[in-house]
Amino acid sequence: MENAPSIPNRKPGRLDSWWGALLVLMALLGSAAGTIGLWWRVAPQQPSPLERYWPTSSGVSLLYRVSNPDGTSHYLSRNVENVPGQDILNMLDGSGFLALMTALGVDLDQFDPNSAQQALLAGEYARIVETEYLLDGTFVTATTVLLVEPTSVSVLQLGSVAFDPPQPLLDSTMREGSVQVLTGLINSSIPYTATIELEGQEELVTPAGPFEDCLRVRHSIVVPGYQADDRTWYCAGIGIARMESSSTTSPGTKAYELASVSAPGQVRAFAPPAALPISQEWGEHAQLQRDYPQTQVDGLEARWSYQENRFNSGITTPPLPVAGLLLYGTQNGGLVALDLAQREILWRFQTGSTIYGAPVVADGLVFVTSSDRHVYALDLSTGAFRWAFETQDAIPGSPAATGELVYVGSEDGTIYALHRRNGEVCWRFAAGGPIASTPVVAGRLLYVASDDGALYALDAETGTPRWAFASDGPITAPPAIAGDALYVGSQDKTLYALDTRTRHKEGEVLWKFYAREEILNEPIFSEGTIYLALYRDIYALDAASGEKRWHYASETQLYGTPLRLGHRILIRRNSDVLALDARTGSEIEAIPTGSSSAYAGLSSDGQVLFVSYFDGRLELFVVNRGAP
Amino acid sequence: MSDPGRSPLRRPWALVKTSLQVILEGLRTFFWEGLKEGLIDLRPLSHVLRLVTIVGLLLVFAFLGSILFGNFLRTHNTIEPLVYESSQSRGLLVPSAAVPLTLVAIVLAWSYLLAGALHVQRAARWAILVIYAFFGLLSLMMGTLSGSGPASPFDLTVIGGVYAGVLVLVITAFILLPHRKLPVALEFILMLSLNTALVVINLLQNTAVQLNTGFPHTTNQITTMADDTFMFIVPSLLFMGLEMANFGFDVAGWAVQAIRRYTQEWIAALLLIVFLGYRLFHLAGSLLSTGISAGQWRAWAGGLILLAGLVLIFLWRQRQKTRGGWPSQGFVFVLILGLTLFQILAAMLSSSASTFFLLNASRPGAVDNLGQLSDLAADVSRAGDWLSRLSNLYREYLFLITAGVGLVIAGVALHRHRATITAFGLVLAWSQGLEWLTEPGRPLEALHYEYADVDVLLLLALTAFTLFKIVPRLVQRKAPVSEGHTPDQSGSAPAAGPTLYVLGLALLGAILTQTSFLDNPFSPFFEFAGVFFLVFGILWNVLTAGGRFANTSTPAFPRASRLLLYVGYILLSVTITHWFIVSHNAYAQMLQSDISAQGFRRYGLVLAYLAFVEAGRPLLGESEPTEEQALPDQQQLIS
Repeated sequence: MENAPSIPNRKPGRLDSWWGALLVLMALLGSAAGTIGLWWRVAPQQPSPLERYWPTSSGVSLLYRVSNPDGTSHYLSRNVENVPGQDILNMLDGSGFLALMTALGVDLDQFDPNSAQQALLAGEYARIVETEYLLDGTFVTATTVLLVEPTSVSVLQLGSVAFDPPQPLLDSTMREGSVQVLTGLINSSIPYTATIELEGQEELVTPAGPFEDCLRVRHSIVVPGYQADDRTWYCAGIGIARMESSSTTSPGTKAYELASVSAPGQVRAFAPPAALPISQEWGEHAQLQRDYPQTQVDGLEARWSYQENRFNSGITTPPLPVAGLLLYGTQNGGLVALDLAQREILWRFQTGSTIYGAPVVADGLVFVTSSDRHVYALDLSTGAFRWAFETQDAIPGSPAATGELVYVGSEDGTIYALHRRNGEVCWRFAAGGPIASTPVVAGRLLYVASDDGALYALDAETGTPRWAFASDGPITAPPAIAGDALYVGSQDKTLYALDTRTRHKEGEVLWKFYAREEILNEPIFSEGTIYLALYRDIYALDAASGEKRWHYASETQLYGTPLRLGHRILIRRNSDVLALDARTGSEIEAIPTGSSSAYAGLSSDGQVLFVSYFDGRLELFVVNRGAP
Repeated sequence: MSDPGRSPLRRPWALVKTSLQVILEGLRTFFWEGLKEGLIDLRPLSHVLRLVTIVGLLLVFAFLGSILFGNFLRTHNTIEPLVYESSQSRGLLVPSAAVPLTLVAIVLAWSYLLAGALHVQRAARWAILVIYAFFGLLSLMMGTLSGSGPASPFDLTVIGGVYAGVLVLVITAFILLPHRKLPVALEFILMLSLNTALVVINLLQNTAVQLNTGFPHTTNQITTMADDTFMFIVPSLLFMGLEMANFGFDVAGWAVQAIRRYTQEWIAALLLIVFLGYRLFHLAGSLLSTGISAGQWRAWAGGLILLAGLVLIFLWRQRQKTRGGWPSQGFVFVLILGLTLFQILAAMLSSSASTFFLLNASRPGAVDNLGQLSDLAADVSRAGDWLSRLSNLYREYLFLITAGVGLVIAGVALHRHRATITAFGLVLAWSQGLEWLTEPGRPLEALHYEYADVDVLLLLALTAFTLFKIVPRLVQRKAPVSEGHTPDQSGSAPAAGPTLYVLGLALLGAILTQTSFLDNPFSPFFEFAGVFFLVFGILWNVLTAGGRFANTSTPAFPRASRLLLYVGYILLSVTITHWFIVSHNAYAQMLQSDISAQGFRRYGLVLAYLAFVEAGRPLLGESEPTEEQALPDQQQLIS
């Protein structure tokens, strides 16, 4: 065996002294600076002075109380969404497209698709969806597409009205008292003149509280036979906090005052109006992918598939069928409400980041969590924003709603109990680690598991800890409760059955089942049996004793929680949904799904199976007559 | 000792004062001096080495701070989704500030490792290069290739060219530089520049793709890199678990050595009785409040079986005349490395198979041959599946394999008359074999036990020994215990009395079981339970690494190389660990904590049991490892 190489002795030189150290220090700094400098191109940037007043980041949601000239009032909800260049064309009509091309400097006479695409991708856009409740119980929605440039924000298209050039809203080059006048065409034919004047900076008091740093801006637009004048207060971190609007077609002034707000780092809630019934449908650019022919084959049969035609729209939550709608969250932070009868999107609400927890519906309100640290309360009928609550970290699990409270576990390690009506905190409890699992309420207790390996049983009304059970690994799956037993799987590879009547501080174990693999999915309880899906195995266990009833070993990887459909247990695999006999574990059929599916959900009557995919596709299967 | 000239009223104060002086002096002499001895000594180093060591260790401490208070980065930063790593059961996000920090640390860590490898023994040097090629270069290349697509600025030729060029340059450096003594500054800057070039092309590619598509490629590719590098840091994670036992050895050793120097045997005996009494009282209180379940009785039965085997080894060991050398840290590290080598190789093969597929998928015209590409994907998938199954099988039987290795060690050591090493091999074989048998799903699963269960039995055994052997002996003969004796670190010190041995073992046992406060969900420390072993292990390793590894120099491993290799490996381990922790990747964290706990259970506890088998002598420095006493092939193994 050779020793270290023989090295000729060398006298220490300059590079062995401070000079060498200086050179190394410079190299270290250079390497670090180069790395950080390149990363900086995609680093989240601080907002410019203008953006301080106009947050165009996804998920900013606002609720206004609108005071009408006749003394009545109603509400308007506003939801802001960042739109990538790939999607912007889906949101514009022909006039809007032409206006955008002109704004981007694309020569339409010598149209070069490549340069046009590059200009499109390089641009920044935002979309604002407004839902306005009217006094007659109906509501209207309006969509505004904004062009966000380094020094200005302007309206590209408002509903079906496209502005060429875009109508300016704010310009960071303006100073107090300065006025800008712009002329252009609406829908390439009607001339318009827009005036914008920065009147001053002041404090503003709204029903949602005072805002110190606001700009007062006057807008006016004149078209033949019509003139509208607005005075708008843009507040830092919020956007529009107040607006007074008048026009030649409607006498008097209409005032919009901020009632609730959810913006990055800022949440203020206000008691929202009562929920309203569905009375209007609202479509969006999405497409029915495939309509399968119906057959007389018994069993599960694919009926249709659907895909939202947007960038990064992979489905990231189990689909939730409710009241004729199918709710699901997407990678790009959208909560989609699909009308199952019409097979089109009824509404879409934008949060600030990916949604990983399935939404929950209670009394006409949808509660949805997001990785943008917020939980949102929305109107089920319209998707209109009602209130939001901000935690310190992302919220990966679903909320739980019962009685007057909504419970949310956050990665900040805290479980929050919020008042359902306005999102105010009723109590909070700090666990020892991040909470990724969905809380579960049963009786007077709230059960929540944490990455610290513990399952906590808290008083649902007060948050007082009743007992806790510590496993040896993180618990990310929610527990299942049946009778006096609670079943929870831990990443210490063990499924525990705990006694919910535990009187001691430490949870009492009824039995435990060693699974030999980390348990990531929720166990399901049905007819005295616990079904547990692992990486490649499904176990059916006796719920009373933990004894194994049957075991199925799959050739390929299994995904998610199993579903019980009649006498079948359904579980997703790489390219199919496997159906097993719930009593024996024998394979009944494998329903091909084409590609790797993400999630699955069952309708409440157990007759429809929804399978969602990472590419944003959604497939609907129906149980035909005669199916077991 | 009494002072006739002093007032009797002042005696208690004088006793307290003397006790305090003894404690402070003991702390200063043993704890502080011991700790100082373990620290990396920067004084004899050149300015360059001092600088790179300090920079590396500062980064290590910064990452450790961030691991302990990981939520700070998350709550004060934008958090970005990790799309590839997220699953149905959990969506993962990472604070954006962790991205550049991780990239800078990875570049630095590999630069340390490569610069450190230049002047070590040839086989080790090339082994490090192979490891770099698979875990460093390949994972960066995978990250770069993951951004390949219509929006990427570089095609396969450019990316492949840059990575191949850097590999050729590193190989050239590894051939030429070991024989030319260039200044360390130049060697380090060369390695740093090459690695920085790789990260630059990686970032140019991924940031461009991100700007064009809006998909967070730059952040997501780091997860791929972290996953690919994970197997390489497994030995360090195991070693960090072992550090918990080392901490117990050090502290118990310092305590009994201080007691031996400054007190008399009867005081030591009194301390022992009080200490054992306190622990028994605490144990009885705990058992009375909760009761003893059937499961607890079974766990104690399992612990008793372990103890029975240890007693047999103890009795055999007592009959041996030779003392033998204590297994050195290097020996244990080589053992750990040897037992994880298969899994490291499997990870390397799996990683290279994925890269091979990505390279084929990225080449021009690949889209025209989708059929072939699909076949290739299926082949790669099958190969990965096969490797993964093999690796899982190995993991499933690792306790048994370790037990087998223990028997081989015992056989070789017995043949060469190394009694302590033979005992080590036997303890390893017995404890690991029993661990396998009592694991859930195995024949003796009902008797599954933890160290806490064994600790109770050891406590009772030590108490019985104290009551029936030590107390009667002291009553009959009140002889002082070598007062004023200075312990000899070389191992030639005369044997201390059994009181000190038992006291040392009692302290060791108590320290090793002091993690129960972490297991209580209502404890304020519960938050740190998951990372406790890991962070504590890394911290203790860094604090004591100097004395064990980095302050010494051999022709095969010169001191400068040791330092760079040590700092590089620790930095890489901490960086990858930190990434998983700040991204709240519970699965990876669980795996890391599990591996650290395995290090404690599989190797740390084996050494602790060996201390019991050796009747506590190693705690008093009476069985320190020496070159002669170590396993004959130890140096070769380390090399």
